[in-house]
Amino acid sequence: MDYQYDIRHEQLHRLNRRISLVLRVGIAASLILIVCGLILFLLSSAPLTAPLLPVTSLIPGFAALNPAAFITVGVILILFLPAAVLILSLAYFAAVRERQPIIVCIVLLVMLAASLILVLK
Amino acid sequence: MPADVNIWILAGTGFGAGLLGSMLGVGGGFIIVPVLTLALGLPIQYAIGSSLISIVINACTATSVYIRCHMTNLKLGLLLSCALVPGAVAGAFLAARLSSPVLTVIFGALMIYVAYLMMPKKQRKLKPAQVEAAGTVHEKEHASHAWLDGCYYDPAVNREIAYQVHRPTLGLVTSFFAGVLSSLLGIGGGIVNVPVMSQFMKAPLKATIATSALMLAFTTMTGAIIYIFNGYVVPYVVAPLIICVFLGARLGAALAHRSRSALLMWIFAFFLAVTAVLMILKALNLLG
Repeated sequence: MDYQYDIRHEQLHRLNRRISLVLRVGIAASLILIVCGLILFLLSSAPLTAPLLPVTSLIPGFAALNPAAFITVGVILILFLPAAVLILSLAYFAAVRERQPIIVCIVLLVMLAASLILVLK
Repeated sequence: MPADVNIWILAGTGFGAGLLGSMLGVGGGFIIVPVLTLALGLPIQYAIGSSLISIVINACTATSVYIRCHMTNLKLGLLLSCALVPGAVAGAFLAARLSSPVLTVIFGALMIYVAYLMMPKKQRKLKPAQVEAAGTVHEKEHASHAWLDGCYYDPAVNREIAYQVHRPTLGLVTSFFAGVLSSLLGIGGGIVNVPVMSQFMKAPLKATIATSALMLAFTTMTGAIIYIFNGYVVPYVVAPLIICVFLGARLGAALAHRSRSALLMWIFAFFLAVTAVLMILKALNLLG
């Protein structure tokens, strides 16, 4: 194993640790919001049979301590974690100037955005 | 839509799906969807919507554990996701146009064969000259994709496992078809990703399970967002499910990290064979 190989692996391990941290913090924040929503539901016995709230109703929902608003934000936070991992990876590979992973990250980011637009149309 | 659901069934389902899903690098939707529809009486769209969100939390939880131990091959996962994501979209469009029972039976039979291939077996011993010749040829071919290589510490054997990734082009092509099949047949991508990486690309099983978890997060994210937009996710089902999937996924990832690869291979092969048989029976209308 040469010196360059060791440096590359150490850089990748640092990125792995950062991704793990982002995921753990994101999951913890999301779970806290969901548990708060469930506690509010038990205290207020508000109806939870309706779908998750639309984005525009979230702030008034928070102000009114609506359990569905807390759960909706928790769920949205979870769904954006994979995108956060991708953006963090892209920024990191750009900083260490690794060409192939940068291209892969950009392609995947475009694919995810395109598939979302295509299916939501 | 039922006004209340049995919280204990929901919790048990979430925990089981999280445990098995993160241990084997599969989503866990194969447990959640049938239980929510058959046992709890939820409409299928609501069951799939809840299942997709559960898969994302499962994949993120498992990845947070695996990537800290460097078991996840991040670059390989990102590369294969580039083929898997468009494959899943293509499969979703094809699903409306193709009749799937025949395809399901063919794919089920293929999965049984893959399950057989994945069973741990004794390696054929090569002569030293054969090993050296194969190594020289491989090194020449390998230089172009050496950036995908990985290494991780395996506590089950108490040593560092360094490995090379073989045939990335074949991996990309099979990942695209894996994406198509996962949408077309309604199966999780993990059940195809793991055999592709371990059998075709020769990555160690633990690395493939961890990498598959990361890929699942990317492929299911889009589907989950679509189901939320269409109003098929209800808070009182998804909130307890997420919490229990998280607990199961944490335990599953910790168990997989410490387990021997041979044991995981047996569990995966068994799980693959059972899923394949169920798929064939369902396609032939023999499940009732």
